[in-house]
Amino acid sequence: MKSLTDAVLIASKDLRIEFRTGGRLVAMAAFVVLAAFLFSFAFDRALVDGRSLGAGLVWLTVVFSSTVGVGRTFHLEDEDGAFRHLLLTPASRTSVFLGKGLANLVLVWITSALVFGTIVVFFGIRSPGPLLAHAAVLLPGSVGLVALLTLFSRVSSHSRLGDTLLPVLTFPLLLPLVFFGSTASARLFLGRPWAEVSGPVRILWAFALVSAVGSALLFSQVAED
Amino acid sequence: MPIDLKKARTIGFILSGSGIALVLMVHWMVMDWVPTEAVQGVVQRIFYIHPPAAWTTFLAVGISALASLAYLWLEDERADAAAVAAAEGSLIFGAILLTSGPLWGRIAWGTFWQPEPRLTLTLLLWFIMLGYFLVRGSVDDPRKARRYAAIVPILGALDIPFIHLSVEWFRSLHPQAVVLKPEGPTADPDMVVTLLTSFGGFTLLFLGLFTLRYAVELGDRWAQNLPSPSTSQPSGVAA
Amino acid sequence: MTLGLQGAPRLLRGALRLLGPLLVILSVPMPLLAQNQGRGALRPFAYVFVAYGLVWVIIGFWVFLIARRLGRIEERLRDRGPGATDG
Repeated sequence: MKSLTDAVLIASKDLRIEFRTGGRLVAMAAFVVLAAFLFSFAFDRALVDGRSLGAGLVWLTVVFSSTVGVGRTFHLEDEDGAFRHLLLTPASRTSVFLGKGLANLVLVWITSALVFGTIVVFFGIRSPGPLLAHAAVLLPGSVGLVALLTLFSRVSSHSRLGDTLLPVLTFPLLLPLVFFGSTASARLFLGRPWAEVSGPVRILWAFALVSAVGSALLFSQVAED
Repeated sequence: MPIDLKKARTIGFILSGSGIALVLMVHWMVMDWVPTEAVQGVVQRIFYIHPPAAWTTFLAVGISALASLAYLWLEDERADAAAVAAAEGSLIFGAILLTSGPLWGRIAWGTFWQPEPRLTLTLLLWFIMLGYFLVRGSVDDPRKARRYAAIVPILGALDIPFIHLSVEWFRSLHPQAVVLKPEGPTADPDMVVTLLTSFGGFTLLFLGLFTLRYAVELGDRWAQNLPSPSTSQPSGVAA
Repeated sequence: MTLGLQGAPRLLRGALRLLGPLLVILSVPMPLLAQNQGRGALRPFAYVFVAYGLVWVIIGFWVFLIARRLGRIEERLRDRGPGATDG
């Protein structure tokens, strides 16, 4: 219970900094709107169905923008040595990871909503289906995504390759997420019932659970200054 | 010396030597002995290296993941050396699988690439193991480099069931044009013998080269930490 | 007492020199060539040949890398003199 409270404290600290300075969130938001806009020019919608294409692009844009945004998780604290102090606090490393992940999750949710809206608008999807169902698909996807990205952003922030390393490490692991996420979202866009979506969503939850638990355990092994 | 280099070298040479001998024997069997498969014809002969290469690649990834886990837990140099050696092996045998698969597919499927589970999984694992070496090479602090790199094959191994599931679903949604499986419909005893010989050869070859690579890794670290006669400053440990 | 490393790369070189001609002989599949006379029938054969050739190229590459590093250690140990190899 204490580790959860610690995690929430760390997350709220990070989010307060984020909303005060706004740098990362604004950059991510601008990124997704521009990416969706470019996508809408990249495909001839007279030839392909915007609904199934849009579903895939929602997920790819979420993955790309999260990679850019979450990759900066530790930069600020590493620069002024604050991460060392964070590790010295009584908060366990798992709660540090959960806190960092929680803050990233909030950012990814905000941008995901933005991605969803802009793709729906730019691709002219008239009836995107129930929003709650879309959220229920994006929720497990974002958990798995953020868990892996947060862990590997710790690695890439110490690498000379920097942010170029993050996609190389995470994209091969994200194939299940992109595939089942896009499949579920496409079915919702096409107006299929929830019963056809629940299978992929269950796999997304399993993926989220394995990624989150695995990343949290491994983070406590590698979280050193 | 952290390892008996001479002994390791002997074991490595015996294993890889017998592996090479068996693979050469497979060559002879494939070229002059085994019957041609009726449906696919000559190209089915690639099948005698493809599944053995797949098995060796997955074995290498498995060893690398387990050794990495052991390294994170025990922080024993030997576990890290085993993880590196196996990771390099997975790239090598993965390359064999990724070249033989498309060559077979070009004739049997008509295209170089199909989302076949074995190929897809190996392609992704190949890039995951490439990331392993990118992490090792790009983090300056050697200890950190090893610990960071160790998490890569572990997560890769955890991801395998999900990747497999994805490809299976993907295939059920997008029916493939050709349903030829490399295994083919017939299982002539001569074919089975050839395939088993190949499995044995690839496994021995991998284990032999793995042993040599492991010994080299440990020996190299040891040699680099010796005070050099020309310079008093020992060079850093190779990551 | 040395570690007996001195001959290693030479041994590997010798093994490759021995295996080279053997590989060439083994990779000429006379029965297959005789069976497939039709037009385009050689293409699958070429693919099989390339696939098996690549196995040796890729394995050879790894052997080369290992042998080179083994040679380097051996050189370093030799530089250190016989005393260093006792441990």
